[in-house]
Amino acid sequence: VLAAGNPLVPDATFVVELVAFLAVLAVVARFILPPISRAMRTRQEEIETALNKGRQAERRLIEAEAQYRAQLQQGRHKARLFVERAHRRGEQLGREARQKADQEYGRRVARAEADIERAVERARRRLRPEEMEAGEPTMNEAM
Amino acid sequence: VAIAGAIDINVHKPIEVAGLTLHINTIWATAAAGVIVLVLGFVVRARLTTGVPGRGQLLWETVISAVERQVERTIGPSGRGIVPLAITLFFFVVAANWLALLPTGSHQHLPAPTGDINLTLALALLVIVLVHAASIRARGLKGYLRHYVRPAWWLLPVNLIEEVVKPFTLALRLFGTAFASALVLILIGELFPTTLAAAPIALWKLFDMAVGVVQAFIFALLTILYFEAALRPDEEAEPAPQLLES
Repeated sequence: VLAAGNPLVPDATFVVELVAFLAVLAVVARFILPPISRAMRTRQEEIETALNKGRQAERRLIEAEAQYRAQLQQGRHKARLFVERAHRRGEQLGREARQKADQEYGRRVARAEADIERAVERARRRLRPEEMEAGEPTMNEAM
Repeated sequence: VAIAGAIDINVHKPIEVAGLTLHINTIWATAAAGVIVLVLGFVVRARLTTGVPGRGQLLWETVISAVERQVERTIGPSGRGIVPLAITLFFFVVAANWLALLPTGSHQHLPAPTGDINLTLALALLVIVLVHAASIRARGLKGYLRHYVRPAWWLLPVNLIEEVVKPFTLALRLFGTAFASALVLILIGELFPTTLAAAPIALWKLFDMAVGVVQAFIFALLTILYFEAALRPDEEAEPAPQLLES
């Protein structure tokens, strides 16, 4: 009833078209889309890991820098402490040495004074009897 | 009126094979469109890289991610199965529409096969059959049938008409634009002397190129939206209207 040649009426071509599209769909769905999707996903993952790695490296760099600073600070502090301690020790040693030297000096001076005193005393003692008796012969005796 | 008599709108060159009418032109053009899509796909597949993609790969990736995003947004993860269908529809319809760009003047030897109701109806019926199948699988036969009396039993005729009409609107929209485009080409060929016809024909084909992409986009988008309506939980019943208007 519908006129042949009416562009709105389908005919047997319909089946051919349906089969043709289904064939294209099957090939695209099985052989073309999966590898492309996989490539996309792989790239996304690669970019993500690269970004993460970059971020991690940045964080590590900052940490390392902070650590370096802290260690440097600590090193400087320690060095200052060492220098100070050495300084103090030096001063102390100097003081002690001076003290010891002073003591030694005092001791020697005291001993020397004592020696002198004793010598003087001896001399005096030796002189005294001659004063009391007579001078010269006693001298000779003493010789 | 004189022009109308000169126009032969039956551009599909029907032949009879074992009592069946076949539009041999349409079949060749469909095969050409299919081969174009497949060659494009296999060329990209052969040069596939996870590094910087070439132009072909970029084209496929753009369409794939656009369709995936659309499906994800409207249907969710359960709609992943229709992504290949929507992508293939898009590429196939663009290739089919763009066959009209071949410089064959106003008389097309390889007409856009979308200008033949046989192709568009085949695509539309395939989509709608799959939509109904998906609906039955998602809701069960009972839930699927109950869907026709929602939100009230007396809306059954309206729902029935809506479902019956869907494949025809889908098919006729695409057919109409491609068919009209071919008619306009013939009209230009009749209106202008052959020596002057080249410029308006080129202009029209340029315009037709954009129309071809838009129509393919609409066809793929509507496919996704029909699936969305079929897979949507029963609570809401209206498809997204702002998208259906396009």
